[in-house]
Amino acid sequence: MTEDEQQSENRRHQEARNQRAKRRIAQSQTTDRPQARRRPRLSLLLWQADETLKRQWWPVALVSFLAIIIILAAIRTSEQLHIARSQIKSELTIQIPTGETGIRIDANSPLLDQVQEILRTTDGIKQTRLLSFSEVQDILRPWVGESVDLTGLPVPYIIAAKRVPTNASNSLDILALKGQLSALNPGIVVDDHRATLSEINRVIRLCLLATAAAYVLMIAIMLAISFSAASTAMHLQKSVLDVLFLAGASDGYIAGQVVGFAIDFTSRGMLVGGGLGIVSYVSAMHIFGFIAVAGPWLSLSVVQLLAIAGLVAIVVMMIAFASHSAAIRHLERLY
Amino acid sequence: MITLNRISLRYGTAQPILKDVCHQFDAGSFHFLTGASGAGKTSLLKLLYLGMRPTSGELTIFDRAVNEQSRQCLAEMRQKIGVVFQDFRLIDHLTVYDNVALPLRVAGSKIPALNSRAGKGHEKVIELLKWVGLGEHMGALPPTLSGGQQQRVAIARAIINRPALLLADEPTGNVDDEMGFRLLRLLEELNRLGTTVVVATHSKMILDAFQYPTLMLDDGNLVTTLNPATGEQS
Repeated sequence: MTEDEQQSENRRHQEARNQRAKRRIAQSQTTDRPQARRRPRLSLLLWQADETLKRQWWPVALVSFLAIIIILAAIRTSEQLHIARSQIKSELTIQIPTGETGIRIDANSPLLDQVQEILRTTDGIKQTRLLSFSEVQDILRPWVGESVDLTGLPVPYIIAAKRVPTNASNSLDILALKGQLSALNPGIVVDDHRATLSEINRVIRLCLLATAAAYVLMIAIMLAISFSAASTAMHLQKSVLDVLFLAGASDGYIAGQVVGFAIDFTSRGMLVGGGLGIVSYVSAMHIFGFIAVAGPWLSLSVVQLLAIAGLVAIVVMMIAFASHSAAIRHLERLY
Repeated sequence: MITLNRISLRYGTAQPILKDVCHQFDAGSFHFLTGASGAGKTSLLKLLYLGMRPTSGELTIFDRAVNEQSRQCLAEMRQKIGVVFQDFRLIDHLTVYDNVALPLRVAGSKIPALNSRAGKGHEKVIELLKWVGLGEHMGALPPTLSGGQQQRVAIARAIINRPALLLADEPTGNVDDEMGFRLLRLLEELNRLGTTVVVATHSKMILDAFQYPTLMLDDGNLVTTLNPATGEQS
């Protein structure tokens, strides 16, 4: 390319640039966009030009996604365990041996009648129900296997007894009941499920602990990300900081812009990650059929919702604090 | 307006960049600051725009002893000082208008965007950009402008807050001679409006063309003060 051609090429580039600038001016003078879009946010100065900083919300979204899945699953498990606990707490089962093989569960048995009579007259028992043979089969299947024909085995009668809510006047005396039933037949077994109940309580506590740990982990990661992003933003955009410094911006003002940036990207990450987490969780519940089995996918009370809002507010405040500290420390080192 | 009393400056444990500098800049004055590269011109300007504090000596700006001021006070004082650099230091992803409006926004003014019809505060920025000859480039991004145009944006940004003191560090270094003279005339005009101006330059042509007192730095010492109007040397 000759020198003339080069100059002509440069002129063409310059003209193209001028044309673009003119178009931008014309557009800026004629476009009527909503006011909210017109006000430039100074906090964006720190990151809008930098591709690295623009993507700072990705790790936040990932952490939020994982955290929301863990928290929702833990809440769901805890809810189910609470339901199971209340059922177990209000019910006991009585096994009555038949001593015969092949006996039909619905056959008349004087022993069965006697047991039911005792249960009916015992304080603290609200209602009794003799389980059908198929219900008993369902209970025994996991223990005996699918291939075994239960009609050929001494399958016990099982009575489910509902307890009245516990209070001092009519509480159930299980030991006395066991004594009465043993007197009828020493082979009668009363299961009051208290051991299972304490096990369930332990699992509920573990669920809550896991939720709290996930939440604390999420906060720690978010703080680390926001601290590091604030420092990175200030390193990468030092020219912007210089301009703000020369324009007379105080440390607090510049730190405020950094906080705005940090809250902007963490909110974006939390919204996207959290939203995707909720959608994924609900989808998984649908796919695996948990909703059909156990009713609504998640029911949160007003107090729980307020607690969640409070936790989110705490996260935002801590992010603001972390990024503000990072900014002030950086500025004091820099100027 | 500015008093330098036995000012010394050093970075860490290195040799001092400025040594016992004494001078007084009166309000409304125009001074050139010259000297070879590394003589300490930029460091002296950095002290004057409160980018750092002197290692020793007493620096008084706007009747306030710099060493006694908090960081917050220094930031407030900096709002009365405009600075122009050789490399312009514009924010490339902001329009010319937004670059110039930035000091006003930092000072707390609600300046609407260029295309906004609501709100007030456009006029000051638009008038100034027209005054420096950039009325047609308000929506342009700095990289699309020539060096001279970018320097005029930098000057507009430096004076939008009507500073009492304007400091320019080699403002003509990245522009051709003709544009350099035009920029200096712009600074002269500002000086006539009452702004105290200090221009650091090593351009002999500019020093010869504009008859203003010249401070010469040599290896951190303020060795001569020339006053072309009177021909005096001190």
